[in-house]
Amino acid sequence: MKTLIIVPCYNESETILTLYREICEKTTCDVIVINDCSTDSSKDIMTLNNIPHIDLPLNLGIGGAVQTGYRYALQNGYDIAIQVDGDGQHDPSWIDNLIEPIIKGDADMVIGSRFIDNKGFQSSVMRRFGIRFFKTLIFCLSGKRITDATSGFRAINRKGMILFDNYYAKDYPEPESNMLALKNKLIVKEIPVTMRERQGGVSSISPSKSVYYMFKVSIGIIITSLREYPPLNN
Amino acid sequence: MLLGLRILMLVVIVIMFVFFIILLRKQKLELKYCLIWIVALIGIAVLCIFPPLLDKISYLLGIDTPVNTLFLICIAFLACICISLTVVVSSLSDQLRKLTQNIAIYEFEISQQNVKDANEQSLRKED
Repeated sequence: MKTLIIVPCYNESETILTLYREICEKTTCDVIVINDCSTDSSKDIMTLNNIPHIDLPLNLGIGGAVQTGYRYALQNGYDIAIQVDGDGQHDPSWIDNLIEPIIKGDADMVIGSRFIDNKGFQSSVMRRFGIRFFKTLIFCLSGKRITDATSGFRAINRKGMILFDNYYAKDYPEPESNMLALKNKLIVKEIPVTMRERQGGVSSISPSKSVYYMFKVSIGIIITSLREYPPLNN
Repeated sequence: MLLGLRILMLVVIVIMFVFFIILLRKQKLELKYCLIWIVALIGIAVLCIFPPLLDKISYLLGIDTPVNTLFLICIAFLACICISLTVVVSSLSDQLRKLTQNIAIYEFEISQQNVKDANEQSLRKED
């Protein structure tokens, strides 16, 4: 199975090289970094070290960046696409576990969740509260449980790629895209992973933005569940 | 409604109308996005020219002074225009996103192809 690892990158000059080397060490998958118009030296570091990267000419936000990766994966015939965030929170050693259900054909989408085994970095109290809120909201709307809706550590098959190539939120896309996958009857599985604290860079959700974040994502989830989607054809 | 106000509003509407025509002729505006403005201006002009119509609407809505009805209608038109602009901006931003993504992917593929070609050439030279 042809597998592509998509790393969205916005100002991750501190972590991107270490992360790339770690991925190459621990997996045999292809890697593509999507540089979302970084304003620091990320681009130079990637060019110098021959890290394959797509440079977006405009800043599209993480959703637009990851979606670029999915489109690239679709066009180049990849069977599985994995998102690994550029800040080093996601440990590449879990990738084999992450793609296993897809290879077996048990799932269309696999999410790495921090809240199954509750090991490793567990995020702050406020964030955990937000994640629990999304879990309840998604459960009410779809009847399925997703313990870590905000996790960006996930793998999808071609069915998922076709879906996300068409619809993907621009900013803070993860919870909405989970709802989208469930609404389109994709089989979503979660596996336990441990995450690390971010190794560098700044979170896109600052305290002042968290109110906007909760509001926007909640409305987004509800609207996603209200929309009608044409049937997916592979 | 006072004659003075009616005349003033009509003058303003005519000036705006001429302004739109000039911008359209110079192709600074796209007709598609102006139509709603033109409809709004014509609608308000009709109400200014035929005050009995405005009185009737005011009576039906229970508004004492007809001029308030006129303002209400103006606000309604402005809201419609704002909504249509939001729709246009949303579709533009979606198109821009797709364009950006596709350009970035093509650029990457071209650079990959160039690297490949360069490697092949250097191999041939060695032969």
